[in-house]
Amino acid sequence: MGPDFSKEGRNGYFDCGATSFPKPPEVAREMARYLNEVGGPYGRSFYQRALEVSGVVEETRSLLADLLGAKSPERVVFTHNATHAVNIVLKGLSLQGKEVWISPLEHNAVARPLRRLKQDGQIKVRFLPAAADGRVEPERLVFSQHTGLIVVNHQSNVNGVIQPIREIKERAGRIPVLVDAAQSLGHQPIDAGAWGIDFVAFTGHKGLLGPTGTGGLYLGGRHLQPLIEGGTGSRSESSAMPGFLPDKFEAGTPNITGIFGLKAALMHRPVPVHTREDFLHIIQAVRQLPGLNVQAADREDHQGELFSITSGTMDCSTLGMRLYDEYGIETRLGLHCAPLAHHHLGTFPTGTVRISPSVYHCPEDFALLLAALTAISGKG
Amino acid sequence: MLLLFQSTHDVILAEKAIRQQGILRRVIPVPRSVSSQCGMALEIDPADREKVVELLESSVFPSGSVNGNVLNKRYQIYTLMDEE
Repeated sequence: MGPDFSKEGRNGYFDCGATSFPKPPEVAREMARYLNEVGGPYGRSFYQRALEVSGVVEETRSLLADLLGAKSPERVVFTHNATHAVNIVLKGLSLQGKEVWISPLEHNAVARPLRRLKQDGQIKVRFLPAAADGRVEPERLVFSQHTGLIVVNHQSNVNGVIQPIREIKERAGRIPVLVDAAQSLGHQPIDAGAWGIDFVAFTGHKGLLGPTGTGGLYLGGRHLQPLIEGGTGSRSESSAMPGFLPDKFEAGTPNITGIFGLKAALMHRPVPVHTREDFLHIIQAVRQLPGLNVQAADREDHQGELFSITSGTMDCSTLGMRLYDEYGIETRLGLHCAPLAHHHLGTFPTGTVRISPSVYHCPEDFALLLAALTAISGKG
Repeated sequence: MLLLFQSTHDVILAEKAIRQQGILRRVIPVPRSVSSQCGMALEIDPADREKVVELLESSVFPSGSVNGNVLNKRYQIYTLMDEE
């Protein structure tokens, strides 16, 4: 028996790729303040309460716009999550008869809506050329006149590979690029305006450390039809959706409680208590353990802050269960909603055990994780 | 004098900027006689019209006061009856 995270008083939650935990304490405080003290709608009314709430929503939008390098704040629209944002683009663009090129590491948030469009006879799906770890090779990109969209998962939720989105957009030219930044925003820099990225879909509850139910879409300027229509508090005399941003894509009352929390997360971002070298050291150390295989980027400078493990002697469910039962370590097991990635990496259908830490993990947490994996690999 | 805006996003941006300049009289509901849309309108002194327009055009909407695919002006100015 190795170290037990719960007894050691350490942080054994290594599933931040699913959702981040813990959050900055201000997140819950601000959400409670909205629910208990502030209240009121976003827009639609004139009194002070509505003004305060609307101000918080717009300040949050501006913070996100700065983070994304958006050309102006109204180009960031709030959504429920990254999946919602991806669907706005895939179903709002005119893609009839077009090819959609995707990386081999796409999540089902992209793969499933594309399958629907393909089944409906609207599109063909093609894969971008990539290395063994799934990183797209921009120098090999050649597109046809039928290419209507390129979709790239910025940071893989399986092996943590970071895609060269800037170089991909440079090669794509006028072809629109949708970046799925669900795992990357908060970890990797994005300068969407300067890089000419057309769309960025993101969530608030992973790398940004905000609450679930928050997310958004950056719109670089391409024409899109809205996914849903409804009340916006503007142009109320018309039954047509407004054509201007952000209202065009924000029908219905937004998740105000969540946005209060997201603003707090953006304003109180903790300084990581481990270094990048601490994280990379864990990957290197796990690679040395007998019986364990690591799924990670081929190069350290292409590595985002998560990776996966498989065992030569036990399936991922057993490995994950033992990490939890014997050491109190919480991980994500299986396919991580990314079967395409596992096909490419050769881990389909068995899947992997994913280790996804947060900025709150200290080197001692990593040391205990390594001790647990060492003990398990030794016991087989 | 009243300023009406396309969206909540725009009215909040403008309210903050105009308040900081100390020239915002108050926030009022959009008068039914002016528009059927719901939401906030900003009331200012007619004497501050030029200052407000300059502020909106240069600082609040630096990317342009048109938003959308048609020529949508992001704000409109209405003079009240008793100000004429």
